[in-house]
Amino acid sequence: MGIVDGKAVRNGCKIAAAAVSLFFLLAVLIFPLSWLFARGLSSSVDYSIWSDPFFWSVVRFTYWQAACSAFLSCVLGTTAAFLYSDHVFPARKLLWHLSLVCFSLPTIVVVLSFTGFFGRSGLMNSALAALGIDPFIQVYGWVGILGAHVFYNFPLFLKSVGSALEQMDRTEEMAALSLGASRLQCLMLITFPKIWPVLKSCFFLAFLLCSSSFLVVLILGASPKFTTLEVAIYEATKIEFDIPLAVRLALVQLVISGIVYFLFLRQSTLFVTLRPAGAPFIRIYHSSKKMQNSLLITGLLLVVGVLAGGPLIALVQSGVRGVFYLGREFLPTLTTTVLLASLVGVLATAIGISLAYCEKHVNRFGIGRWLAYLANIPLSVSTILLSVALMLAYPAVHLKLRGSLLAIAVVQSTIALPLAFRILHEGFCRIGDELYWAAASAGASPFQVLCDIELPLLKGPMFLSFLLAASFSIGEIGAVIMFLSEKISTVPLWIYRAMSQYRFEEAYGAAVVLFFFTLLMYVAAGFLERKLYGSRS
Amino acid sequence: MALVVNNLVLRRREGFTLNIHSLEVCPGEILGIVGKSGSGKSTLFHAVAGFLPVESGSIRLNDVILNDVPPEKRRIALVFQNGALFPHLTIYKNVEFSLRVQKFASEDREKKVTAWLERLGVADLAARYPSQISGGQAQRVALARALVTQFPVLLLDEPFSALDVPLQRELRTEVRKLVSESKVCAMMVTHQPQDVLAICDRIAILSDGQVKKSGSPEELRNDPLLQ
Repeated sequence: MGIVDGKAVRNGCKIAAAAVSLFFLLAVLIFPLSWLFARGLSSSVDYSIWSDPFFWSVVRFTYWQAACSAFLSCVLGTTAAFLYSDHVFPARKLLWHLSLVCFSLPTIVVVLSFTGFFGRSGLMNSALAALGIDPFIQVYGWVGILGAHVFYNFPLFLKSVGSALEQMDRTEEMAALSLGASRLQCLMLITFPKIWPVLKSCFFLAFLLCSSSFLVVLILGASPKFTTLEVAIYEATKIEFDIPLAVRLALVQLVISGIVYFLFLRQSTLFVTLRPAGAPFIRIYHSSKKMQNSLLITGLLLVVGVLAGGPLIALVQSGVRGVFYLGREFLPTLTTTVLLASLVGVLATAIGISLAYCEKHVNRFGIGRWLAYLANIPLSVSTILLSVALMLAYPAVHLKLRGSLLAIAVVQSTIALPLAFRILHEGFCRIGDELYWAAASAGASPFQVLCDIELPLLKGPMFLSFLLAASFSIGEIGAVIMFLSEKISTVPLWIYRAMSQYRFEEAYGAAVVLFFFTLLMYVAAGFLERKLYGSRS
Repeated sequence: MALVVNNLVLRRREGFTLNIHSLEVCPGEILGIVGKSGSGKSTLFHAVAGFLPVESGSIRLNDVILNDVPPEKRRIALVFQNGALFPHLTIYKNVEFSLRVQKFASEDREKKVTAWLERLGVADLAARYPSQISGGQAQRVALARALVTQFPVLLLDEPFSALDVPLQRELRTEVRKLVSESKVCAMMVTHQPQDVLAICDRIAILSDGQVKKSGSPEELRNDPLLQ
């Protein structure tokens, strides 16, 4: 290797990383969303469109169901987190993983599992009928939408609150109890204020996820009465071709999601002091009355068992039979899905590395920090919304890229970017300063440090980021539907089509394949996470 | 009103058993429990406070067996190494906490809290939050918070180890004076021999979960187990 000017290399590295990150974020995220926002504002000058009752009913339903879903998820997830952290009972680990696996399942699999368990001829109603009880559970409408959203989002609270509870120093709770506070007073006055920021940020995140829910509402809503903004945008763009309506709906979603995202970002102050290494874990919320403990645990087992276990059993039961109905034409679909997931994994990880590198090394004018803020914006944007924004901002490109894997991969990797960035940012933070000093004192240029120190040490986080981004892509359907063409079929879309044509055996078969793929990725990601960060459960 | 521990047995982790034959602390007295890391000091502390279940034996306060009494009803105040002040409450609210949860009248609360804050020399910090005060000040607040309860027992877990040497000396003297005046039964757990030698009336040396030796500071001053 020839002699390289150190300053040129240093600046070159930083400039390249900042340019790549900025170009991607501007081209794929900021410009299209700004364009959509501007078009929405200009079309809003026509006041008559704001008096459309359908428009308002959609807005009302979207945020009302999101608030209810987030609230119920919060109640169930937080209660479960307290029970998990302070009680030891048989199959505790299994139940913890069963709860968490719900969060990583593709939406189409959840919807199908729900219909298989809670549906008219599902396992639950069949069991009730066998007992002589009239089936009373109706999976379509409010119950189905709320149930599926809680199924999805309670693990978010369970994992975040559970981790906070297990890692926090509990001497303050011990002090409170010793000062005469009852368990309830201790919970309300000491523990809740400590985990309040975690609860709030989880609530806002769950609210964002539920307000942009697409497939759950499209299938389980099953009536115009249960239409969310996301579904309405899709219908206006792809079925009614009413672009002004789509733009107006998108504007409302952008504004409200933006506000909630801002509130989500503000939840950064955490009152939690971490438990010192080696200090014993004291179970504060463990009742000394055995009966009370047993009742609480039985309640938890029942709720998680029915909500999470039941649908998964129904899926596997119908799916294993259904696999034999899958014809040869399913294989290319599976190959396309895996290819797309790999592409998304690589793209999200590459952009994530570039952003995390800027956050760590580019400090001038706060560029790194601003890029990090921008990288998290996709948390408040859905694939449908981003697809519409891209279509409107680049109409010519859209026509060319319609049905191309690249367009879908770009949208999906943008939405998966906050996840990839978080993992890689944590990876960069874990590289000790002394390694940089040692490398610099040995005469290594920043480019050599990147290649010889940083990237090899980031192998684990890069693979984790790849896995999680790919796992998101494997079940995603919004971008696929928006860039739909005859040429492309992914497994979720294949299942959706099979369901629409009442080919349920095949749908279950394909869903079980998707479920096992996701499960495999969940296990691999969990293994990797434990290896990288130690046990968190 | 003495605190008495008799034939206490508690299995904590693989291969470790706490086995205390007999310990007693009288009002106005400080019993120092000293031992190396892993000797069972913290386990004894948690058991007396009520956070770990006792397998056999008894913990009594004035002939009342505390074994099945939950921590919130034991009337045993705790002071931790880091103070364990409630970070979201001001210093005033921290000290007022126990009186508030026990539903004392507000005038009564104000009188008591102000008196204790003044006594410990932290009255001017009342409006601040724990993150805005020093380690020494936090320990004084933790002491005020524990003593305002007027509970008969005070447990201190390494109360001086996070402080610098001059501050340690100052606070030791203060604790000694406060315990004598308030007539509480105080038990102090520490790994620093100088703490127990300076202020304790009696010392118990713990090793492998058992009391290996006990006596007055004068008797144990030159004991190799204490070095």
